[in-house]
Amino acid sequence: MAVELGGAGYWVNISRGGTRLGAGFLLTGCYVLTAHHCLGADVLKVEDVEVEFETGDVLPGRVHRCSPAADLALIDVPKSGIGPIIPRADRARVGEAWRNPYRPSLSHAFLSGTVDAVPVAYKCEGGDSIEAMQLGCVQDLGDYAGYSGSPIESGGSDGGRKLFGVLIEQYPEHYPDNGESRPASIVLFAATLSEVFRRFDCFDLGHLINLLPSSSGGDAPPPREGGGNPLAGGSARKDVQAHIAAADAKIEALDGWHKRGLLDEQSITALKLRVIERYLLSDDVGEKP
Amino acid sequence: MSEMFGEIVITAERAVAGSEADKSTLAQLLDGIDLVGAGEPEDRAYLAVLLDWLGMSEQAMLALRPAGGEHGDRGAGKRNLAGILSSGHGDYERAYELFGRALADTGDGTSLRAKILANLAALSLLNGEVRAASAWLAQANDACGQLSNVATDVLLASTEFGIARVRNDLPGMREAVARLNKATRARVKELGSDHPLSLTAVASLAAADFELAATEESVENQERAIAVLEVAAHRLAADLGDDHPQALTCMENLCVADLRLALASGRMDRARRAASALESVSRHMAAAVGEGHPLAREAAANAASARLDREDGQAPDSGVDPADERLRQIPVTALSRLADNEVRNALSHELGLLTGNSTFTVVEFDAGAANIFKVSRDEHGTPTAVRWEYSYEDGVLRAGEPDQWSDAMADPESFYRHVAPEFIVRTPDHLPSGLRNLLPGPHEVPVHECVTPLRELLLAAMKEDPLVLGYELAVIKRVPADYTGTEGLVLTGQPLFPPGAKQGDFARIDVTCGPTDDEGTVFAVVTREPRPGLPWQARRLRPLQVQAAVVPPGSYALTAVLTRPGEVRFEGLPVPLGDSRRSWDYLNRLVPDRQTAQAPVHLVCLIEVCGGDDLLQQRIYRLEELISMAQANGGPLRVSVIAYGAHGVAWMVEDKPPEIWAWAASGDEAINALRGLLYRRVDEREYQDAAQLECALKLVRERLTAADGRPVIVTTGGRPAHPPRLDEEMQLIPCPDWVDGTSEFGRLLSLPGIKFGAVRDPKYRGWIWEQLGQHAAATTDDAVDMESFAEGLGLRMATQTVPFPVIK
Repeated sequence: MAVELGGAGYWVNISRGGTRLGAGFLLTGCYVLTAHHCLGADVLKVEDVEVEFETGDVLPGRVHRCSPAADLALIDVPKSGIGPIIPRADRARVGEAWRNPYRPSLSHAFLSGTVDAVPVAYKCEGGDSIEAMQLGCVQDLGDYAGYSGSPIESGGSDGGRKLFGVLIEQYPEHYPDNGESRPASIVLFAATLSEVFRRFDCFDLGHLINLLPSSSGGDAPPPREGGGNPLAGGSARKDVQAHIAAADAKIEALDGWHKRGLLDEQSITALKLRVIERYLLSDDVGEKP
Repeated sequence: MSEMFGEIVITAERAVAGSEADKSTLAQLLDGIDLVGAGEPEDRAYLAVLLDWLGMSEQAMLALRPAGGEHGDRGAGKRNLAGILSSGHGDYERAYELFGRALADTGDGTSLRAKILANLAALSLLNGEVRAASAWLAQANDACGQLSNVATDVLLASTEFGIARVRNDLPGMREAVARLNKATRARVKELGSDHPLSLTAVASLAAADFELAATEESVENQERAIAVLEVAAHRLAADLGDDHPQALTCMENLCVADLRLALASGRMDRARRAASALESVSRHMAAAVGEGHPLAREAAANAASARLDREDGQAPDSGVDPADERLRQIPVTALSRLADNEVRNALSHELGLLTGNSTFTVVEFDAGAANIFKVSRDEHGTPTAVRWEYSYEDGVLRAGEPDQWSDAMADPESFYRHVAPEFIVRTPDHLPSGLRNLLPGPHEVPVHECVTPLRELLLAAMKEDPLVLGYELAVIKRVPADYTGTEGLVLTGQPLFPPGAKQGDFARIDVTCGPTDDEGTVFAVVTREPRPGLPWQARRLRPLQVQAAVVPPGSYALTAVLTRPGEVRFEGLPVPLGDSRRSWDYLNRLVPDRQTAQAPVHLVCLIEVCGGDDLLQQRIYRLEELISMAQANGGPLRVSVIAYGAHGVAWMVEDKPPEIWAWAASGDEAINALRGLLYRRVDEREYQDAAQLECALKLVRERLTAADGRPVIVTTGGRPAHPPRLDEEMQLIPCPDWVDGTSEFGRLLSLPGIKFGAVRDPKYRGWIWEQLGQHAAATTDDAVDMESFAEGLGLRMATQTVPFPVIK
């Protein structure tokens, strides 16, 4: 399958068990980026999903990294067989036109508009402040559900499309009279690619160096991706088992607090996610407390 | 930091963050401001980086221009940074020069020196000069020693890898990659994972890893390196913008790596995508840095190569010559560059064979004319070329004034016998029939097809031609003292550049400039007459470049930069050099045989304090004038002041001896001492008819030493000296100590070189005043020609001019 920016679509539909979850797009040859809320708040562990490309090809994927606080998630598509996609990432500039090449279905409109502010600090519903773009949208759809996780590209006609970021949230319209808010604003927020790359430890430079062949000898730790199963080694297995045990203990404690009424359901869920993220999804398992 | 400068920095920071409005504002703020004088050096360096980032490279260079007083490491640091920026802009020549000057300005054993050497190594490698890169690398490694600098380590390891790769040295590549891995880890740890320089370092490491894996034919390792390159390319583009040269370079490396692996594994779809991406990167690189930039040229060459490689993977369809097909698909810029290089290499080869009075010719054919270039060397070995142009009209040679080649242009046989070109350069245009007839047959004279005019290529090749004769700076040297004890002076040459030196080389030399006439000091680059039978020193100097400027006397650390054969630029002088208007022979005649050293002088001022303040003030004023004039002469000078009055001869009047107010002091101290004499209290019973002149002379005689310099005794006053015995004729009482003034004067007069001057009161008395003014005399209340007065005493000498720099 050939997928390249400017050619066939590099955006995907993500589904699980035949149920559509949301949009995403290939960020690298083996990673699909999406908004975490597309996967559902109950993603507490590594889960399998289906990734459907614009061509109709469906490939198995697995949730690789989650950052619910920043509303971002990475899905590993290990069997894609796709080489580097070579999309041209870029920084957006204020006043620049943007477009979204993805739409949830043929009956949906394509989105476009102008970058109103970048970079802006934006506090996600998950609680973290991220580097984002504030986007003014020309198409006043009222509700932009279904577009989350899709790519935001440059919309200029100056040759070559550029990837700016990932659409994550619609700014809600507030009603001061009754204190309510609903998704009726034409202001959208997208995480910048810089934020995405900073957010996931698999893009961390220390990790990348470890992947390189030159790190295989000497004191450097062995590569963890593309270089074999990290669970295969005896000591690595012990480390991971120890962390699973630690995570189980923490989750058990949280459940206990919930039963005693110390924490509400929502807080418990968020804390469990943190535990999963810290103890089970991190590459640096050996260095975490 | 000034308010204005601070505003500029903040505006630049906002512009770098992406604000177009601030970029416009920045241009307005910078308009007319002198960045050299604004801000602290570190702030200006920071601003320069911001400006360069914004594409305002000229302003960046202005910000890096060292301010007055910035010498040593601080100035060198600026030049090093300017060199890095120049290199980034593809101006390697300027970068070499700046690094060279920075290196000359920095001391041994500093981390800055190691950085500069590392930059020179990397720059040489970028410029394809592997041997030079290797030499600089060795020096840089030596300089690093115990000085640990992570950035320098990364650069050195990268350069080491590049050299090993060019030499196909697999063990060297492995060793260098291991070193680069270690240095990159340290760099990332130092800067953090999100710093663009960390990203760049990891991208470089990944590219090196790929090269090594490709050489080792390890597909798995190539894939791993590509995976890292991919993320690094994305991260750089996301952080810096997709048109940033660093992002584009990383993307180019990714595309090249992907293409090579795809070709090696027979995945043609992937190869096609990579080649297409390379074309895109090449276009963006050219737009970002300009088509002439080395990065853009390299990207174009890679894109062209990608097309060729892709074709290699496919069988030709039919009877089309694959090579011809490939050439047609190579972008014009890449084709032109390849042809340019071929012609330049051929020209460099011919220049290398050009010695003595030999010549060679090359010919260019285009759509309307033929140009013959005859190349030779002048007496200094500088290549020069003469051009003849022959126009064609309707395919036929247009008749013109006959010259040495005109007959040959009409006859192919005569053309190859008389013009005898080493090779012919033709443009892709359709040639006139007359020129087509002159084209050689197969396996005869080489013909290169080239778009760039031959004149430009020839000039470029001549500019890069190594020197065949050494260049020297004409200097005056002191030679050992002869029997008279004075040093001799000779005009000679101080080596600057040896044979083989190339454009961009530099040399440092310390010189001293002396007083000159209005034409100034001459800085002449000379070569020596090539007469092997003569000793080197005896060979005649021949001027190559003669420049001059009125340079304030003093010592200067000069840097000579070889800008091209036949042209040297001097830096380190406070004034710019201009062409000298004087002939070489005339300049030679200006060189003095020996330096007239001024002997030290001891000016002893004897001042009579009798006669009231008005008179005393006049005397003081005259002496001040004289001391100032002697000081202005510039020679070594010591000044003493002795004040004397009358002997106390009345009842109960204390007899105060002459008093030393200053001895062998500076001129300024002596003047201060003189001013302290005013408003002295006068005893009404003071003796009115004589003064202690004889005792003052005796005091001088007793104190004088030869070590203080040649004595010059200047006395100002008017009363006669007390006689050694009662002078009945003049009715003067004798000196209480029976000192004989005549005798004291006579003893002083016998001292070698001594001079006497007197500034006398209008009504002076006594014969001794005639003697005291025997070399120079004046009257206190008359206008005094103090220049003549000083000259009479040898206190003013005509200044000796030194037309050339002097070297120890």
